[in-house]
Amino acid sequence: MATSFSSALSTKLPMMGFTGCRRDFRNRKAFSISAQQQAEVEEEVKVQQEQAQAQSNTDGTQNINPKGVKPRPVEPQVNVKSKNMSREYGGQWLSCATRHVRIYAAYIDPVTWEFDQTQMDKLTLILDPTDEFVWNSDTCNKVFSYFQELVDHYEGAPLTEYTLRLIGSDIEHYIRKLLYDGEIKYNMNSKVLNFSMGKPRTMFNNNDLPAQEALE
Amino acid sequence: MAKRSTRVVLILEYLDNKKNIETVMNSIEFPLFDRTTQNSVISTTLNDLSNWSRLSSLWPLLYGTSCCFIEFASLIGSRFDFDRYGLVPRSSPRQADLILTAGTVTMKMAPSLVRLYEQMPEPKYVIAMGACTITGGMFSTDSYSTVRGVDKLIPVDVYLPGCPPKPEAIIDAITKLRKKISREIYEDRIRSQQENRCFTTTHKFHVGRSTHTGNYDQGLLYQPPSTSEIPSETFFKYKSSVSSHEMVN
Repeated sequence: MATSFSSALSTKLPMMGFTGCRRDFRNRKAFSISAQQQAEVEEEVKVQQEQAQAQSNTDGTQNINPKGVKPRPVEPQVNVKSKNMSREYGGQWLSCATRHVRIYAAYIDPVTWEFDQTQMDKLTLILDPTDEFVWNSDTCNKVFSYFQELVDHYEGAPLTEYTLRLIGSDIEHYIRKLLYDGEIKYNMNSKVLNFSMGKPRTMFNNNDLPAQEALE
Repeated sequence: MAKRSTRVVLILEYLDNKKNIETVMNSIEFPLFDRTTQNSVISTTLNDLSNWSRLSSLWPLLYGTSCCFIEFASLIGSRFDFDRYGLVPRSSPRQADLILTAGTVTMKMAPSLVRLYEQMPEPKYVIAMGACTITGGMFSTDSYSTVRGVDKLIPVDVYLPGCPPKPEAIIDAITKLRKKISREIYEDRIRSQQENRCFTTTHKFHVGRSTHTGNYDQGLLYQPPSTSEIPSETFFKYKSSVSSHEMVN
């Protein structure tokens, strides 16, 4: 599973730091963890939660999908309130924030944007909040499934900003690949036209015409 | 309006090129032609009034990370006064509507910058000031921690080159931003509301204890070595260096 997964990705995942983390984890736990074992690791993670506040919300169960390619969204929860945002919690705004990818270690209600940081076993991805590209549900689901693959791949890694930023930069590379393949396009109706992933250009082909910028 | 006419020009250019060029990378999504925008005198006057009121009192956030802030700060003084343009520097992002990113943005600073930008209320504008915030500037070749351009983090309206740009150049950028604001169309602004592209999943990461407890980790504090013990590494190091020296001779 792991090998097929890594061949599917065209990006190089940084293996050095990750294997180091996994080794520590293994020594501490004294049993081997493989990418396929999900249930025991989940319990381990839940026990070790530092800020254990009693949650009245039922945790959304996901389908245990052995491939890990399909995105497994958590069921939407009701009565979500912003919790653990204040300074006593050490400013634990564990996040990765770039222009198109925002990853937070919390549960964010998609309707009210309430930010529940006590649920530290969840990662939320907010895709392109500035609307630089035009998204439809297919392309969104592609990015979400890639995100799911990455999260499954980084199983056992420590929940730090470093890990989240590794995932975030991989997703940015994937968005760039989608753009170069023509699956997503720049949104010309946005307030600013930055073309932050490269100006639109034409590829060299059989014609004698030199490569031009389609837009100056 | 000027904005609509430039779009028409760009579309015509592309249609000409399309006959010759087969493949286009990074393609763009064209706007719809059948936009029903009113063109009455009253709505354009109101539009101009709202644009004028916003461009005449752009309040910038007092933000600066490195050398470019010196030039930005000199604008506050009497020589290059920017209060005459209506700019009053605000310390809180909640009260600012312009952020002049003055200074290099590193990877450590990047989330804070994005957070500041998110805290500013709409309508907000960004001027990327200086070479570091446009493409990474002098740090773009070898730096391991500089973000190459602030438009990887926040959307930028005006790029202001210079290292650092003179205060007169900053005023020029502010003037260009004012001209850009004067061309805005109110209906475009309210039409482009944010969609929700939010996805939550569970992870199996190892949730460790937070290191921000306020206490120093005792293991990291310097312990002076007691003189009775000789560390074994240095002992063997000296021994091995002596032996190699003998072998060379």
